Amino acid sequence: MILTWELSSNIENSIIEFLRDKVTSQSLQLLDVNGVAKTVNVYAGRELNNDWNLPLIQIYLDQKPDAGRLEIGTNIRLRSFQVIFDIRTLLPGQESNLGDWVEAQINNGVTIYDYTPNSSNPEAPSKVILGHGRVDFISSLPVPTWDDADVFDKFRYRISCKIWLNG
Amino acid sequence: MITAIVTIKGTSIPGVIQQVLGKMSEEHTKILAENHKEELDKAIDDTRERVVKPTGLHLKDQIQVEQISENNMPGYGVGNVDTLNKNAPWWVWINFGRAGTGRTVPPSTKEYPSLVGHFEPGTKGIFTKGQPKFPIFTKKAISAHNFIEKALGVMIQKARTLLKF
Repeated sequence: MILTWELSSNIENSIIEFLRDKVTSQSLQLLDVNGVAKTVNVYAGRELNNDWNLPLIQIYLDQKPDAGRLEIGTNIRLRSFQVIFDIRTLLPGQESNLGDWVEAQINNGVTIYDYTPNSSNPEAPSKVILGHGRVDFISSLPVPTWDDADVFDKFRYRISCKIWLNG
Repeated sequence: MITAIVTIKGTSIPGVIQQVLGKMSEEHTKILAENHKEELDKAIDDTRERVVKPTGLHLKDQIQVEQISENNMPGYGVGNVDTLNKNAPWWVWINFGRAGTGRTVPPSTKEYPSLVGHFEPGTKGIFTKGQPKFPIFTKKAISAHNFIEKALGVMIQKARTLLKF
């Protein structure tokens, strides 16, 4: 059996897809230093990729801190999935604004899908709704800036939150 | 929940309540701080990529529970940023994946010719300067370990259990 996407990947990708849709539907852009509007990108992955374009929202699952039993006598767990949003922008102040925007978008939760590989079109896996992911915010603050920080770290904001999945 | 208040001779009831609440609040913050310290240690250990270095300052040792006071209200904090910046400035690098100097990839012999040494024997041995001396050419960036966020994520749920009296 080839193991495909399980819950962690499903949640991660559902959030990314959700935010990409929001960016597209709102034509969300930020200005660069020359006053040129740049579309906000949403990327997956813990490690920064130098091919990514700013401004960006980097999303990845960091840990699964909760796994308590839903009730006595069952092995069904109430799990949470802690997700990091690293927001990186081109100009000062944009990172906080984009952080506010992200919080507002995910505040009411995110639809979580179960994805299945689609060999005829790998870029568009088929999906069915798995449930609604509720959001609990853990932290939300600018990442300290440093004198020699490169362009990816000059204006950076980090949000961490737990996603709880209802059955 | 407070079910009884023992009066203190010469002290008003509101004064006694304030004293009891103040003491309880202090105890609660101490319990939370001590448990938070444990979770920070755990998050650091859980994401450790190499063995603990045999000598020198360690990040975990620089994160301690400290008594603090604000507006004459005693409490406890964990992880003094001034201490961390002074004794373990790499906390930024480990947590956010970016050093205070702005770099992501550790220094190499190419930049600093005197930086030569060897990796200690064993799995995930750390690089140690000195004999035998070999150059080191680092390529891989240190990724964010997020130990602060990891500990917070656990503590939010744990606090509800800890503060049940």
